[in-house]
Amino acid sequence: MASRGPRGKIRPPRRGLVTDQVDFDEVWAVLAQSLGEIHHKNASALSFEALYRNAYKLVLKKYGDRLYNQVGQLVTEHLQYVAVRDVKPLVPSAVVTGTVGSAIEKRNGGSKFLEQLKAVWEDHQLCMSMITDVLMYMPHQNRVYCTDHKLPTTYATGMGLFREHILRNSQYKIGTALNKVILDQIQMEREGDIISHGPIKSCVHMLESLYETEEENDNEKVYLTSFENEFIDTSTEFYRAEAQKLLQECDAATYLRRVDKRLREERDRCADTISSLTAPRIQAVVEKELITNTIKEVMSMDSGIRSMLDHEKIVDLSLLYRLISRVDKHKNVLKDMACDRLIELGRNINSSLKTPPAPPPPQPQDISNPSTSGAAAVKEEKAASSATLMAIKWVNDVLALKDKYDRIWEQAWEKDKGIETAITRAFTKFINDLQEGPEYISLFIDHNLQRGIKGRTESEVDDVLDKAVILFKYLTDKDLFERHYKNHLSKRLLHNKSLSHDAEKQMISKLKVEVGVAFTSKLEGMFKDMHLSEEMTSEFRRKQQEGEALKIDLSVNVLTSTFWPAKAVGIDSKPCSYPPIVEEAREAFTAYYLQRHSGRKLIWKPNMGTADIKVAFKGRKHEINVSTFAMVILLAFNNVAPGESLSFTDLKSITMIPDEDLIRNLQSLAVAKSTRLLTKKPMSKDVKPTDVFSINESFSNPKIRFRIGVVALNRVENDKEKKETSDSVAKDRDQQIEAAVVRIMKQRKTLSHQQLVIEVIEQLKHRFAPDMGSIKRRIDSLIDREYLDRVEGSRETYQYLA
Amino acid sequence: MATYPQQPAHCKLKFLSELGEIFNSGAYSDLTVKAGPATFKVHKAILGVRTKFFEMATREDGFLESKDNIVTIKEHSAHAVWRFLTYCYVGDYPNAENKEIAEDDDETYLKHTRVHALADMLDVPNLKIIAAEKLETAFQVWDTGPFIQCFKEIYATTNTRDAGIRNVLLCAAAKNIHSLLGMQTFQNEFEGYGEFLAALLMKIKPQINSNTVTSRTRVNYREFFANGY
Repeated sequence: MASRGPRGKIRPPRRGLVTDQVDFDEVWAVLAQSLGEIHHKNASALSFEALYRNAYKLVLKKYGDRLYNQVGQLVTEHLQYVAVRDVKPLVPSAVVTGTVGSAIEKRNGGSKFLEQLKAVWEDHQLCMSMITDVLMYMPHQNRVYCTDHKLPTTYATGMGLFREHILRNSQYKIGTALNKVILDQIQMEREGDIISHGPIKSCVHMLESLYETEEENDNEKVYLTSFENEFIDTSTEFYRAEAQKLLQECDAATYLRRVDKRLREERDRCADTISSLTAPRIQAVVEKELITNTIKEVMSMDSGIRSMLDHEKIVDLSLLYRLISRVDKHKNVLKDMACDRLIELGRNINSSLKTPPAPPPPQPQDISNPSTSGAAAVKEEKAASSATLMAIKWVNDVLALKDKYDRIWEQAWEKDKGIETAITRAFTKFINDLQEGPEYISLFIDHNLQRGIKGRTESEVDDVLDKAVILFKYLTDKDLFERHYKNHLSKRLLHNKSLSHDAEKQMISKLKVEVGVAFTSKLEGMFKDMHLSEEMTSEFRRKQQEGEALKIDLSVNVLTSTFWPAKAVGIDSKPCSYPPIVEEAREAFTAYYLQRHSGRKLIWKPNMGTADIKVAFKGRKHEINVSTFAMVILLAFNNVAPGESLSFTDLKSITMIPDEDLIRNLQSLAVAKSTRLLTKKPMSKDVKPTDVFSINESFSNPKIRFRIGVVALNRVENDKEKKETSDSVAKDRDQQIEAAVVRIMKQRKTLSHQQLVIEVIEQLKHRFAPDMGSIKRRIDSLIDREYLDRVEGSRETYQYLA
Repeated sequence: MATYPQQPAHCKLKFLSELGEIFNSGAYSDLTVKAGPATFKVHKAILGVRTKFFEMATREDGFLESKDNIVTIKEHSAHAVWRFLTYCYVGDYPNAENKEIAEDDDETYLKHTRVHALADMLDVPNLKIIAAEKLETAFQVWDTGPFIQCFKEIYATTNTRDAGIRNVLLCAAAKNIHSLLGMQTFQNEFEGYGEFLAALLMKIKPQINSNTVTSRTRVNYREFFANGY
């Protein structure tokens, strides 16, 4: 009993805390009873301070280990009791006996079991946290324990005991039942039943809070070691079967939607039913079973990628892209199959040209035969323009295909870089498959610059030209294109058929952006020539007016031979004997020109020119535009009395026009009905060396001004021209290869064969793709001509000889 | 930009000590601590910084203490509890008696011993250091009888892991070895403390060797802690 001190105060305890020896059994008996109360949820009757103090005393007096073991024992006994009393009655009998009840029974039974397990778990957690608090001083000591004895903390021990005595209870297989119930419920949900997520989530949470060992390593969660694998296995099985089912039941679009739905379901399941830890693994299962393993089959269905592409099913294609992206970052299946279809469509476009739906234009019969009929010439012209139409159709078809794939690429495929490359490759492939590709593209431009852009705004013209450039970019043989373009351009310029110089320049600057100045400099030179010629012609006329005026107006186009296609300026000059009035003008200009540019040589090309002549038939005057040759022919009749005639041979000796051109021009003048200025005897469609011609006095034409043309339109080349072109292309390419080899060797001095070839291909890639054989032949030729030599000792290395 | 004048150190100390004023003022108190006849109104948040004990005791729907947030500390003196709580507010505790507590203060040496024991039970290691330091200072005024009592309490409330305060005893004993040995009951009092006696002998060995046992021997206690004990 405390006695009162001198100032009426209570005396402090004479002795402080625990000075006596502590009897373990006595204190433990009190503690054990209290912990039992905690287990029976009667903690509110217990003083925490007293429990803590008692536990503290035991540890202070070095009974820590005994206390630890006793607590473990007590918790174990309690859990064993709980397993029997609370959990065992609710373990679904199916797990034990193997029988399967009805779905509802299964679901309700399962839910009850899960709820109970959840309750038991929560009780245990609460009790363990209270016991841990009471034994606070022990883990505090445990800091030393942990390093010395490797003893887990009180709480971890409690968790471990739960794992051993509840989950892994050797008698009742509670853990197995738990897995089975959760997996059953998930299976039911996958099949469309509604299940309650809460209890599963709680139990999963429990599994996540438990570990294989008391070291509590994160990769040894019971969830991972005991549940996840089983979940993955059953899921794999489920989705493998699902894939087969879907393949049989669904069309491609539906299949994709089902897969997407499954992926979302599994993602949600990881969030609200099981653990987010599993998300990557289960996603991988669905991806493997429903995408990787089957997508090719799905895409090959009738309703597969082919139909999606053909009908531009953006939504489906987009979904397809997203699903494939999940399993293959290169999207190879998609790339391959989409491009296969693209190439197929492209080849269809190509082959539809060869079997056009319209009645096939008759092939020009043997052009080398000079006796081609006039009607045939007209037909040939028709065929040529129909071929032009074909070229335009081809370009438009290809562009439509390109537009379509662009739309799909943009809207459905997220502008994927890899797919873009594959599409480009596919276009390149089929465009270059078509031998006439370069020519067609040039014809398309030609058509537009002549007629197609009439009445269009600047930006519309720009669009059209851009489209042409798009196709141009796909061409491998850009030099072939250049050749055709030069031909077409020269005809546009010389025949004054170009609609807009601005548009022409725009086109050239677009090409320049794509492949550089070297490619376009000659084209620009052609424009320069035209410009200078105009200046020169007007200056020439001015000068002439100062002196003795010529009797005719002369316009001259002076073409630099290297800029223009051989056809226009080539060495095959076709001179003729001009009538004096023309000859006078020719000489005057020649004099003027050589005085202006001394040292140059002028070659006159009458086959390229035209003349406006004035004629009168039966008092009716006409102004007729004819070729220069036709003019020469007609003027020859000026020296002949009315009614007289000239034979073919006469004309030939007067005009000196080469046979072929003479025949062609006489055909236009004497055979074609509406332009028959001359009559021919005998009347026939062919022009023969024995024919005789006279002025057709009865000629009439309602038009005052008209034109008599010879076949000179830009059109598809015939076979002979094709051969000529390809020969000259080959020659030209050889020259370019040689030039490249010399350029490279001059700079590098010595180089291995391999390296040289690589650099040559690199230098020429904007023009054409040189083949190995020709490069090798050119190198050999250069060695023969002693530009290069093999380095002694190493056969594969060359050196440059200065 | 505004600059704030730097506060001199004593201002900071004053600032801290003002915190002590809300201790037991009742203002916003959410916990009552009882010890013997004394009742203290305190704040869980502030105590919680130093010890988890009160928080654990009053966790919702838990033990008896959670019902009305009263924690009764038994087997500790009212002054020791008061000093412990004061420390939690201001980081130190006074030696002087609290006259408002209807229980006598602990004796000079025992004040610190008992704060130390409470600090150990409630796991506040810094307070143990302070208590040991204060005890060392108190031993400068030597009184053999209370030393013996203090010695026995410390040995009852600490174990071998608690070398800090035991070493304070050892140094004080070595320093005052003559008065201890002068006791008639020495042998009785120290029976059963062989471990301590052996350490004491080693401590006074240099004095025995030099044969001049002075009362000046003193180990720097701070140094002892600084060495990581």
